[in-house]
Amino acid sequence: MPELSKAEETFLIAIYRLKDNAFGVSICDKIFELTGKRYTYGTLYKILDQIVRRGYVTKKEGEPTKERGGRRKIFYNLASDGINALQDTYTVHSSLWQGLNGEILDGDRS
Amino acid sequence: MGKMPTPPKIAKWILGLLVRSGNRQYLLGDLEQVYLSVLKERGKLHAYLWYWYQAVIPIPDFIMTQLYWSFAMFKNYFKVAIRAIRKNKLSSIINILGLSAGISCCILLFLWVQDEISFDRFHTNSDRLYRVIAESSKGFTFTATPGLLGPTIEKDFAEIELATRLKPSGRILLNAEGQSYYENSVVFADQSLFKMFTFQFLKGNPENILSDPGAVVITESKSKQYFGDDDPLGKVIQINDDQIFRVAGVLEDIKNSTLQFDFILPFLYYEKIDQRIGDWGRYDFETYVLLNEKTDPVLFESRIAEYIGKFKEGTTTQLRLQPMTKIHLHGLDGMGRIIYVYLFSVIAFIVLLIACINFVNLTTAKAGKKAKEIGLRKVIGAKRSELIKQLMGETVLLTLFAFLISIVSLLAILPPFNALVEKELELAMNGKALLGFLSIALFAGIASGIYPAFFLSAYQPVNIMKKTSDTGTNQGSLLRKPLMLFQYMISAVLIIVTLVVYDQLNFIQQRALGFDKDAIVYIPLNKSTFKQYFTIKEELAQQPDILGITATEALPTYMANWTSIYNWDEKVIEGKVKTNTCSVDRNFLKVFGIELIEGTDIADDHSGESRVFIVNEEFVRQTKLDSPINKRVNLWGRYNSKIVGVVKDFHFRPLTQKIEPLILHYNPGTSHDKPTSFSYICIKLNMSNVQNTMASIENTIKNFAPEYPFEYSFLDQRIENMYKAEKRTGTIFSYFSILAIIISCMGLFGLVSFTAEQRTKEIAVRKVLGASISKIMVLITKEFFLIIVVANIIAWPIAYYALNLWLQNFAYRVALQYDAFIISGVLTAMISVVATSCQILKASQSNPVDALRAE
Repeated sequence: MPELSKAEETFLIAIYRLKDNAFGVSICDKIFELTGKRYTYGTLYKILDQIVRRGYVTKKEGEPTKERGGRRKIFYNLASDGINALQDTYTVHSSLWQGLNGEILDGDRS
Repeated sequence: MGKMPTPPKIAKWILGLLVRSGNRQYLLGDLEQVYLSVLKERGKLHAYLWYWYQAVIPIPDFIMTQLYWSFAMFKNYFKVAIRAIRKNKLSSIINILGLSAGISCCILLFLWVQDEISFDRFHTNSDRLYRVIAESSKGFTFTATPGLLGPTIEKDFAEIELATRLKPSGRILLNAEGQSYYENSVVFADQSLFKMFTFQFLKGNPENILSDPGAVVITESKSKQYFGDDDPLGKVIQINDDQIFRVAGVLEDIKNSTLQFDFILPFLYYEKIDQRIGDWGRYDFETYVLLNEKTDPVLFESRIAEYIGKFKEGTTTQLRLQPMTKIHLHGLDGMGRIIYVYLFSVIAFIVLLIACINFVNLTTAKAGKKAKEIGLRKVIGAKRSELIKQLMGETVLLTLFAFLISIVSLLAILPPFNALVEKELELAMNGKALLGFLSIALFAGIASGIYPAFFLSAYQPVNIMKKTSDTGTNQGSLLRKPLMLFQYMISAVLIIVTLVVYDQLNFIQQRALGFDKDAIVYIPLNKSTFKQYFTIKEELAQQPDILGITATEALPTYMANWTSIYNWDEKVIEGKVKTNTCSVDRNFLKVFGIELIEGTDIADDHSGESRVFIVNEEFVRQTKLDSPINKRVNLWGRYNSKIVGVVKDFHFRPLTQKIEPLILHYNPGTSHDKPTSFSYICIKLNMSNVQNTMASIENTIKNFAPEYPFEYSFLDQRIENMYKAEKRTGTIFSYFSILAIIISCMGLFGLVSFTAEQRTKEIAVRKVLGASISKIMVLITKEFFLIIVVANIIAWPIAYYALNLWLQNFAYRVALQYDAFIISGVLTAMISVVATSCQILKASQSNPVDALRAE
């Protein structure tokens, strides 16, 4: 299984946290809330397309609403591949950081 | 709540363009949702700006992506194209050379046509300038109009802004700075000339310059010739030994203009010396008018049609208007140079077309090789439109390459071409010309690329990958054979036409003119020598290398003194006979070697006669005189003279015209005191020592007329010059057609070598089984041979028709014989055999083992 990129990881986590309410605007806001980074919507969909293509998430159309100019939302949900990928990433992540958390954060650069 | 506020439309539209269709709906939905929330929280302006920001931000990224990919693909296409060129060297060379030859021809022609069209367009008012021409009731048109027409018509019609008359002086003697010159391009003009026409003045003020009857305007080159580097203004030019003019202006040399002159004299002066200028029955002046801007020329033409009738009762001659800009190309009767413009355009186009056909044929023949690339591209995901773009791109690249070659080669070709057409064309790189050249190149690229592109891109990848053999070749030949047929047909037509044109031109040059043109020098008589002709003749006769001397009113190349005779003995037909007349001196027949078939020469004594006549056979035929000798003919109502001799018909006019009746008349009373109207002394020379002879002739004549320049020409040169235009057309035509034939041969060569290469294995197997080389040759040539035969058969009627049309221009023409047609057939066949045989020999002589081993 290939490694997740940082952006993919961020997106998957955001979608996971949003549970059943993960769609464009909410994902964008969530990522901003979590990381302080504001994606433009163009880039947002590029990455969403990418993770859909890799099978980490599934998407489902919602009902059209008035506040969206009569357009449908598209909801994203984590697929089992996505969960697995996040687990792998975490494993790699934690083994990388094993025992180093204190040292690096304390700022010992000698 | 009222209507939902919506985001700005333009920004929305931009976003729609940028986002791939799949997510467009959701993205726009998201943005609209956020837009609304921003609107609620921070106001309309903020929301508006935010939305625009969302739309603008992705643009640079989008453009970069597009550029990156198109560049990447272009790099790939370019590389593949270069590889293809290098891999198929022979066909690439044929294609590039053929296309560059075709493009060169078209550019040459483009330049030539541009030059032809530019005639008379440099005048600021060129679209309002008209020449007034006269049309007789019989439908003859002529440029000559009555002398008072210009000023009166200008006064009578408000539609005319200005009018001017032109009166060419003919050959005239000028004196300046103690030197004398004969000039032909001297013209008298009204003062409005320079207001109507835009000729560039280098010196002097064009305003009212011709209102001074003692002024003359000259061109720059004449100013150089007459006065060197001195300032010519105010210098004196003497005309006809008596009248003095002062140079008041210098013009830039006149180029690309129907009006050609070196000296312009005031009409005010001419009016004083010509007493018959007010004669409305005398058509001797050219009239040009400048119409008002609002005048409709067609309507106006109908108003002036009957104008001359107002001044001369019973005139049937009508006036017409001819646009200045049409004079050069269309001539007086629509048969001007436009025919050459069409002719050369067609040929240049044909050359380009043949090159394009070569390209199409060679590319589709090689389609099998290209097919795999196409298939692979399709499998990877190329769309058909992209493939077409790629294939067209390759072709255009090739054409641009050919275009560069042709530009370089044109730089070399232009000087000799200019010498041939007597023009000063140059490869001007201004915007308009460059656009023209590039569109020629692009046209060539698209014309040759479009069929192969659609043909190749239609391949189904599965079929290509499945079959191991070359799929393309068989499908391509569907169009290939008709194209080859067409190519060969054109080549055959061109061969036939070239042969016959050459035949005809030779025929004209070598046709027995009926007189001897060799070793005859003619010297125009001037006022002095004219008076002393008989003394000069006696003196010249002393010289040993002079074989004969005579004088004549007109040279036998162009006698055109028409008259009608009404009365002759034994008149058997009603009406009149139109005849040419020419006054000649004794010895005329001897010097020109004209054969007398009846009666005597005029050298004999004819006492008591005021005139004696020698007529030609055509005269006898038309007058139906039974025994013409000693019959009397009334000429001009003055001479009722006797026919003493009949000569064999000779061509006293260009060979484009039929021989007409002719009277050579001689006044036996002419002597030292009473010379008749001779214009030329004609001398038959012994050519063994021409330079000395000419020097001594010059000496003799100079003794009699020291104040005149000595002028002379040889008759055979003059005759050669008469057919120069036809000869030039023939030469240009043959160059173009040879080029076309070479290009189509190259195409055939490429095709055959490809076929031979493809059938290497077949040839090897046949050889193993015992086929001889000649049998293999026949096998492969057969296919091309049939095409050539059919092409020739189609070509014959086309060539026959075209040549018949052209030959109508000549009164005496070669018979269209079958030999040219046979030759074209044999020649095309021979060329193709030569082209094929070396390739096939190579294939068939190789050891079969080498060809079959690879399997």
